[in-house]
Amino acid sequence: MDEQSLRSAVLAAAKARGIVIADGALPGVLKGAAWLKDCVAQLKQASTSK
Amino acid sequence: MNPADLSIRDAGARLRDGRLSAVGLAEAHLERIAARDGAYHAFVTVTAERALEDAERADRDLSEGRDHGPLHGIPVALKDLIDTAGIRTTSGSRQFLEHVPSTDAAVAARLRAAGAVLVGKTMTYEFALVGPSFDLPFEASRNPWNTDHITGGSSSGSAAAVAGGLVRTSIGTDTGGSIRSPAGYCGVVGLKPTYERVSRAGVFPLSPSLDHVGPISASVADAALTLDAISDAGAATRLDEDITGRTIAYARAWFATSSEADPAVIAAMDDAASALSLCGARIEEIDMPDYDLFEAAGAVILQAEALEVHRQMLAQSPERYGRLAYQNLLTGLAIEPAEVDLARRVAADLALRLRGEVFGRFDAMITANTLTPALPFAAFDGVNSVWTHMRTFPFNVTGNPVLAVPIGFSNGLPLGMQIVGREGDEAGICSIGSAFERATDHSVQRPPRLGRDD
Repeated sequence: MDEQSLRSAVLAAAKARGIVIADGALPGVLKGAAWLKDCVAQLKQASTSK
Repeated sequence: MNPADLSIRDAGARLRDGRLSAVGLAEAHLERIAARDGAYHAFVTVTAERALEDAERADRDLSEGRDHGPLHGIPVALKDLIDTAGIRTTSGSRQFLEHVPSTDAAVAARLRAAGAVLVGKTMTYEFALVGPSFDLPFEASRNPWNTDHITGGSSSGSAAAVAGGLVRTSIGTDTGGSIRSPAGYCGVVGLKPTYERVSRAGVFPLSPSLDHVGPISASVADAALTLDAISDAGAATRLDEDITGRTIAYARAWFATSSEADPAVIAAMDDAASALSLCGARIEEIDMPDYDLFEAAGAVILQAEALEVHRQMLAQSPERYGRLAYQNLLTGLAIEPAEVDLARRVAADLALRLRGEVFGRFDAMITANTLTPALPFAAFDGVNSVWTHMRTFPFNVTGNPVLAVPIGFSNGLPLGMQIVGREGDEAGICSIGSAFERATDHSVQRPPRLGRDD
């Protein structure tokens, strides 16, 4: 997932939960979110290579 | 010897033959806390009045023939994530700064029924998430071996309290390594039991699928006796066993091939494996499934579950979080339900492989705990998360019991090993840990004194 898509997905998920992300926090959130998406990619690869 | 330095067994013997009173023991610990905790910041709340009440009751019960077991009259501390009736329980957050539960968590109730003496509530990373933080109304706990260094977390105060000689035993929680890594960094013993061995009722959740409750203590015996007071594990039933012939898998490549592993950790682990071999155990190096896969499955499950736990507070009172916890919780927004399902399937498969490939052939497994000694506070800015490398997360994913024990030092800071067991076999890993402890002197090492008390 590219950076812009990740940003849109995170903001949409926040809005759906009534969460407003505080000023200045988004870069840190996106950094962690990108790492989690890398984790998901590893899990998908492991799942398909079985 | 100061009574605060007595093991649970030795203190118990003295309480029962009249050489020591529970009140005297509690006072010795309270004096220690008063003298040293200004340097360690292990405690959020010291419950001196409650401790003396508990101790008076313990003395009275013993004198009238009511003996509640090995923890009777023994001072304990609880991580401040664990509800205590009538005592503030903050979870390390402004969200719960004035939160006073009306009932005890199950583990607190078990300790009370076992005759233990509550001396206080110990520091936790905010909601057991990340740290150290510098924007909260609590001082971060400091490592008694060198107060310029972190304790690790999230059970930071529980480990600091034991390492600093403030209590012999305490209770922590562990969702990705939060009992074992601070135990390792602080040179004490941590025991993460089998998943659901200890009730989580009344413990603020981080990730219910991965959360464990267990002791951090000064020795293997102290940890095993504490676990037995809060569960039916029977962890202390085989502490004196000879381990000749036990088969132990050594997951060496899991940490030794990592570029993050401190050479001192690798050397200390090899020495520890040799020590177990000299005790008569049969050690065999094994290959393990990819470590990163365990971590990936665990991280996805943890962040998705933590987000749901905190959903309401994130929407209604976000300003009450510290920055690190707030940012960490919101990362879970990136995870979709199907991805959590995938992580659970992979986790189940990894647990099955561990059960077959390792515990189908071996009695236990050893591997490193943290890959480095405790980092200095100077490495943390309180804004950006700093990754502290460890090998703990897989056993939250699989639910196996793990005993963390000290194995030596690097530049005066402790290093640690994990002894992993089959599900339900806390007694087996404690017998191995106890044999290791008898064969080495790592667990009797104590931090430098502060120079202003005993």
